[in-house]
Amino acid sequence: MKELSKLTSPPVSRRQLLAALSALGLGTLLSPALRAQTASARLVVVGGGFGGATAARALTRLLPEASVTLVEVSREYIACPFSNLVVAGLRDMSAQTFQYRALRREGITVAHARATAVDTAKRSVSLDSGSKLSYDRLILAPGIDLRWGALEGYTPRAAERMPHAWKAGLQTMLLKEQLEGMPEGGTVLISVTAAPFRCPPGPYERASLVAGYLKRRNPRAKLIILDSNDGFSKQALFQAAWRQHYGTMIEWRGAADFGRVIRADANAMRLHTDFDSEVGDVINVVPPQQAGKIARLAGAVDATGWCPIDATSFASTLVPNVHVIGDATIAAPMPKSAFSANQQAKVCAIQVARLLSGLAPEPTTLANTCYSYTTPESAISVSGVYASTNGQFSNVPGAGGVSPADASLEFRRREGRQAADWFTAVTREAFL
Amino acid sequence: MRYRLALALSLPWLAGCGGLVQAPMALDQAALLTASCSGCHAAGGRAIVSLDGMAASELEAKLLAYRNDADGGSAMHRMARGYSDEQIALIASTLGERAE
Ligand SMILES: Cc1cc2nc3c(=O)[nH]c(=O)nc-3n(C[C@H](O)[C@H](O)[C@H](O)COP(=O)(O)OP(=O)(O)OC[C@H]3O[C@@H](n4cnc5c(N)ncnc54)[C@H](O)[C@@H]3O)c2cc1C
Repeated sequence: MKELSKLTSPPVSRRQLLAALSALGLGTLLSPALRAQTASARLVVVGGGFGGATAARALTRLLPEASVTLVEVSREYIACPFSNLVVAGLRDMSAQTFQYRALRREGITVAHARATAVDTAKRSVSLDSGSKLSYDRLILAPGIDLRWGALEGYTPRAAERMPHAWKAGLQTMLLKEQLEGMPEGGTVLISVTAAPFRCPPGPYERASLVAGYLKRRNPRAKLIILDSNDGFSKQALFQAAWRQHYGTMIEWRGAADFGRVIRADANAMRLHTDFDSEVGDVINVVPPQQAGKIARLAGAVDATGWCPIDATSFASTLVPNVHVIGDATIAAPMPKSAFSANQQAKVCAIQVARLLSGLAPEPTTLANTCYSYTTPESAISVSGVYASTNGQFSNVPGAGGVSPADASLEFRRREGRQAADWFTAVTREAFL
Repeated sequence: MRYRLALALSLPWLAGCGGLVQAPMALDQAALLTASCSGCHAAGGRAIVSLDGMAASELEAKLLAYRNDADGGSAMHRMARGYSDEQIALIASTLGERAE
């Protein structure tokens, strides 16, 4: 701590100036050899989502002289948060779509290619464009892959009839169009895979907003959630909102009530549970997931399908000089959220810069809030605060929790506005 | 030296220009802790609540009020409860404006 206090600059009026000067202060404290090392550092980030884009930006601010390359297969990023509003016809897809121009302007090399292999011994990443990138430190932020076939019958072909819409884009539009074309009084099925999966409250926010759409356009329709879990995020709040706003339209069947889907039959538009089966006019499958494939190819994935990390540094516990952030990680109790990915990215970038500067990674405290809309204007939220001590995340006792059960409409609407402002702020920090 | 000069010259624009020029970040505990804040409260843009121009003392008082209000139900109340006096002071002095 004494070492660190020397790095802090003298008080000045603007915090930007403070940050700038403290970074300069650090530069002057480092030995010439260490400075040279950080200046020539080659940093590669794979995946330009909420995690990777934020990480690349933070690295260029932390180490302005290092070379930072972001590898992202798509030219545009389509954000999942708020895509449930698109499904319900309340938001345009253009509001979900982001480019990488701002990152380029800041000196980040953005390579639009797919990373196809990582050689952790030679410290290089191969791209499908044929080129190879050498790195001193690699940050993997590939998000999730769907585990095709892990739910019997759920293949890429089946997903054209039974969309997942769990990666935003064409799938989101497909689900929206199917809802619009559903016969009057029809049935929507939403199947939810067993945890862990991307965005724990996401399926239930989707059910809320879809029910809102049906109430307006197709009021005799029914929505059944077939759940492989026995409970879910913000359950009491969601279920109270469902009763209040949608009456009996939404039925939730947990694993104990034979809600677990074991087979999808896309031709018959039928989902089979342990005991029974249900036919749907529109079927949305939130399928089994795992870390993005490149993490597996890098050797950073364990038997669970996800990446074990040291929570303090985000370093892979399986391969050297590789850090992993975002949905691909095992970071419980931190959820797989854009909020978490964005924040993990900044903390990871600082720890990488510390390591390159000869400083040990330092434990800290992180926080998360996930908002979910229950109606087009009202939202509920769940928060957590996490310590990253001893290489593991733990809940800070006494902190976190969900919105009050007895909150006023005004409180729910305020959280709805906070959610919208969060989306504006976090996408700005990552992409704009 | 040239790098320092260029940086100093660019500073007056930092506050208002969004993504164009970003100030370098620090590597210390203050930077680590405030990584939790900037996703919602980054400088110079629309945020849930803008911290632009807020005095460090005011920010510290607000964070302590969130933490100590046992009945508060907002996300900030629920998160503030996870931070110590020292952490709150460090966050406030990093993100708040210093008195001249
Ligand atoms: C319906 C829905 C609603 C949600 N709502 C919220 C919300 O309200 N709040 C919230 O905080 N979170 C929400 N989330 C969760 C959020 O979307 C994810 O947690 C977040 O996107 C994770 O960020 P990431 O950077 O880890 O992965 P991603 O955002 O998925 O980014 C990964 C990127 O890596 C790229 N990539 C992968 N492999 C390669 C490769 N080999 N080469 C090159 N590029 C590659 C991909 O193209 C992608 O752009 C929601 C999710 C869903 C599905």
